[in-house]
Amino acid sequence: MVGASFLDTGVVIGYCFYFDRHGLPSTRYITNKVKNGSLDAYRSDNVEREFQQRQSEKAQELSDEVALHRKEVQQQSLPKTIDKVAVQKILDTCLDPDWDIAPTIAKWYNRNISLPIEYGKLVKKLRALERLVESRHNRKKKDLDQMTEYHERDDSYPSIDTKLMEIHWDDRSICLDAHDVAKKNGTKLELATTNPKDLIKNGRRGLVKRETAISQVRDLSR
Amino acid sequence: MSTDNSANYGPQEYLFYRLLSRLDEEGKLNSLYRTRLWKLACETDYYLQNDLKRDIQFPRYWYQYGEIPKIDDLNTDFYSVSKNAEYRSILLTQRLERGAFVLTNDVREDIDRAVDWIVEKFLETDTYDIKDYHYENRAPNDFIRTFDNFRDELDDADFDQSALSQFVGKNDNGKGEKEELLDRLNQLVKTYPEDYDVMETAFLKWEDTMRLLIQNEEEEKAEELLELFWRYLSKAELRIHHNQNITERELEKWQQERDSNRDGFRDTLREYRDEILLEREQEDILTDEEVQDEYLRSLDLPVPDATE
Repeated sequence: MVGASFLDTGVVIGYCFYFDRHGLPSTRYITNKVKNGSLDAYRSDNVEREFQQRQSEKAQELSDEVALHRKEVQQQSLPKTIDKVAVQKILDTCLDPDWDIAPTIAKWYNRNISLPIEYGKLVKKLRALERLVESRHNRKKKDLDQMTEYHERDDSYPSIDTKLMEIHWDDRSICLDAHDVAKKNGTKLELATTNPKDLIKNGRRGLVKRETAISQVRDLSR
Repeated sequence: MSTDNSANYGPQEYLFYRLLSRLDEEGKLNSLYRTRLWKLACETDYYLQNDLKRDIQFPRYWYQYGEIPKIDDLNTDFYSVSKNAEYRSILLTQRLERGAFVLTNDVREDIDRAVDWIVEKFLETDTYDIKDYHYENRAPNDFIRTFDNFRDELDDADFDQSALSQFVGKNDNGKGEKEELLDRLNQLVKTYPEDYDVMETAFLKWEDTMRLLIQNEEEEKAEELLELFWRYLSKAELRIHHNQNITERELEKWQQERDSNRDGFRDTLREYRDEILLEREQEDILTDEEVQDEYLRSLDLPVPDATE
């Protein structure tokens, strides 16, 4: 679908924090649009507020997970030269599948580490990654701010709000923000979200499309 | 000395009193640092427990510079610490009679023996060496021992001098001072105990920050951050895991303070870390491009050609 996009807080977090659980799909979504020149995306004051509230905590959580992974690697008895077998051992024994970074770090090993690699160099790369996760989000957010438009809704749309009542209030506010953008711009608008549970599943996608000017709800949770 | 007070002097107080009296006899009280007295008291208890198989329920726990007696739990009003500006020497303020202490003859004799043995062993040893002996022989794990070595090495390090040593040769083992300190940090990660879980991520962030400070030769900040970390780790982990004869009430209080101690440390660490990461980010333009390339590669997107 070519048209505008409204990014919910999860997508903004995903773009700024590549190692977040939703980092990869959110980054792909935005980067692909940038690449083919079709990015026409919006974020709202509500999204900004939620992002600010979660930003530093998210940075700490994710870089703590990379640090814990690095510690596990340092405490393991691993060969001096890391090959494919050793990487598999690292992924099997040094990574907690419940960590947010788990799906992305496996890809990171696959694509960013040229094997064989010296053990010491791998630990250095993990340290660099840890620092990157901790500090890069500010710059990524600045980039995103430049690439997207900030929107503030001035209409509370009480009748639509009532029809969407089964959706939790904060997600409902985001829907109304996206609806407002669609209505003011008169373009097709896709709501990009990392929260399928509240905005897509159990008939929610249909409800949102039916009651608002939003044309599509895109799942970027995976 | 009132009768009421005398009931409060038991074997633990006797150990302290006897130790002070013996040091006084040897003329060593004037120049006695508190930390030395505490180490000697703990060592006396080790001798009692290990060699004489005598447990007098002496309260002690691990803290910033090794093990210390839980002095608040003891009635030690027979000595005071002088407020001399140069150093804090110990004054024996009351002379107590044998009858002031409530303990059996067997216990008294064991304590006398233990104190004599310790005073003789350490009389001429300086405080720094007693501390080293204590860490070497009593540290409950390799991590604590490694940390003490790291602290000493950082204290001895002179980065200005080590920059010179690039021209005049390296240390005995062929490594530079900085390299040795960085190796020691790796050793700390390898030996970090599994049960120090409250401070685990704070430790890892501290270790990485120390590494950056050492690489940048910011000696003063590294020393500050080392002291700060160890103080908080002592509160949130060391005294919790390594203690004996501490009251339930005190242990509960220490437990309750663990999270706030960790958070307090992380807040301060954040300031050091943000500053140094920001400096690096501003200076690291080339690395940043490399990172960006890796990043795009990881997304399966083409890396822009420099000639485009």
